Amino acid sequence: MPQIRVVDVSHSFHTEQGDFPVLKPLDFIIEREQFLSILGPSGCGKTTLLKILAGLIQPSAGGIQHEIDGEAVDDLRVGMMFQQANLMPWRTIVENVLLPLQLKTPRLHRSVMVARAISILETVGLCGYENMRINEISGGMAQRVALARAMIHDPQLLLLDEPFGSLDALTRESMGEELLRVWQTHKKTVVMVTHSVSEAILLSDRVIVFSRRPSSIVLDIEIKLPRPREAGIRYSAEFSEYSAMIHTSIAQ
Amino acid sequence: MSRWRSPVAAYTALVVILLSSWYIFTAVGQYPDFILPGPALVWQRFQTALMKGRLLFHFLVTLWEVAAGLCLGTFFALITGYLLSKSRRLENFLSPVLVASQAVPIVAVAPLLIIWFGPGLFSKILVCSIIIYFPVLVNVVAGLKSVPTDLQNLMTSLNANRKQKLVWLEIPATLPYFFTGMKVGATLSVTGAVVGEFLGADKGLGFLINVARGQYDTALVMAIIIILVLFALVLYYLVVLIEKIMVRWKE
Ligand SMILES: Nc1ncnc2c1ncn2[C@@H]1O[C@H](COP(=O)(O)OP(=O)(O)O)[C@@H](O)[C@H]1O
Ligand SMILES: [Mg+2]
Repeated sequence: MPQIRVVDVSHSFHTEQGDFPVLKPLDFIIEREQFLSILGPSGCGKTTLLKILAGLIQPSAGGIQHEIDGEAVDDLRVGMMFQQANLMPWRTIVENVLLPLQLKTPRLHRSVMVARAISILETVGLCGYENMRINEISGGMAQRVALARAMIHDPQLLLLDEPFGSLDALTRESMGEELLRVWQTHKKTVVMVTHSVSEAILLSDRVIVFSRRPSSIVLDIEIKLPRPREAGIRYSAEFSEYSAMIHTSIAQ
Repeated sequence: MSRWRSPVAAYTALVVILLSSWYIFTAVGQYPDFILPGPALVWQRFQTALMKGRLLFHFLVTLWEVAAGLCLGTFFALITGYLLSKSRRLENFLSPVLVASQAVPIVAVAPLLIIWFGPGLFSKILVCSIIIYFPVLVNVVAGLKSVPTDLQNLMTSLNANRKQKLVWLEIPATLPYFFTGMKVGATLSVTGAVVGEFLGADKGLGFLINVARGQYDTALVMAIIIILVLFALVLYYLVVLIEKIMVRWKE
């Protein structure tokens, strides 16, 4: 399992109006199997940081170092999930889920891919839906499919960009609990961007809050609630304390 | 009246109405055959041209020109479409050129092609392929540009190479657009072949129309026009059928 060092990463976009600074130098370490949530105002560069972590954007300065058991590695297996489910409408559910296997391990036999896809669909509660089309399912189901796809190739790093942001409040809460359950059985290093303070506390080991653009870190706390957690922990006193702390830092 | 809801019934009715008004019109008017022959005469002329003449041969010539033109035009449209969508600079440079080239009517260019490439099949194949080229190109570029950025990011985050992106993402996402272009271009290409044959050829349905017209054989002219209409229709629905099979998810 990897440890990820964010070393003096800063980023500006070059636009026609000139340089557009987004991230001020960031320097932190994401521990192995840590669930890290990132909060911050819209446009502060959360998505940009995730893209840098995924290797989609080269930062203007600094870099990301990956280490597995103390040894530096160039490439990690990354799983990504976006605000929109971002599925391929020409594929069935099971075909969408096995896409990472087709790309990463193309020589694997098709029946093995399907079997793995079906078993991961079961863990996200979509047993029996595998042959449905994308335009036949609800937004919540589509996000479960996206989660299954992000997990199927057993990624070393899971990047979630407001994964439940497009869902209604109730579905969103139950999806948060679903993710908690899945993560507790398949531990991974996770970086999740969210706008929901309670979702962040429920799921995370650590919460980072960004300031307005150009962003820097205004709060970096560990969530020391006991694990395994359940949804009911939302009503505990510690939970409210964390919640108050994070809300104050966002208001600054 | 619910039976009109079925398109087959409606089309049959339309054809019957057209044929019978044609028949009544000619029966009442008693026009000379070289001005307006009746449906019976046209049908007769069609049969003799098919059995004793070389109608089938000329049809196959036109069919070959259209088929080869479609393949050639589509092939180049796909390649340039892919390159254009990958390079902003190339697109900026070539877009005005392509639009300008589209403003030149193909009927005006066809004689040049015949001067340069001779009256043989190749000049007609070129006319057809130029006609299909633009609608397919425009739609393929639009399709490739419509591929959602997040899906591209997903593929990149999974280290997909260029070929994998093409096969698993860009081609399936572009197919519906491609077929839109094909539907426009396929029917136009029949016109293209016939225009080419008009201007200089010794075979093909366009050539045959020219000959029949010179001999005041109006019945044969009309028979060929009907064949061309049916040909274009069949081509169109062939594209629709292939689209239905390949883009089943769009429904
Ligand atoms: N490719 C780009 N070019 C220029 N500016 C960009 C680009 N991508 C994002 N931005 C700008 O950078 C800022 C941060 O974007 P983003 O990381 O998406 O914010 P968020 O925290 O809402 O996810 C925004 O103001 C956005 O407009
Ligand atoms: Mg964002």
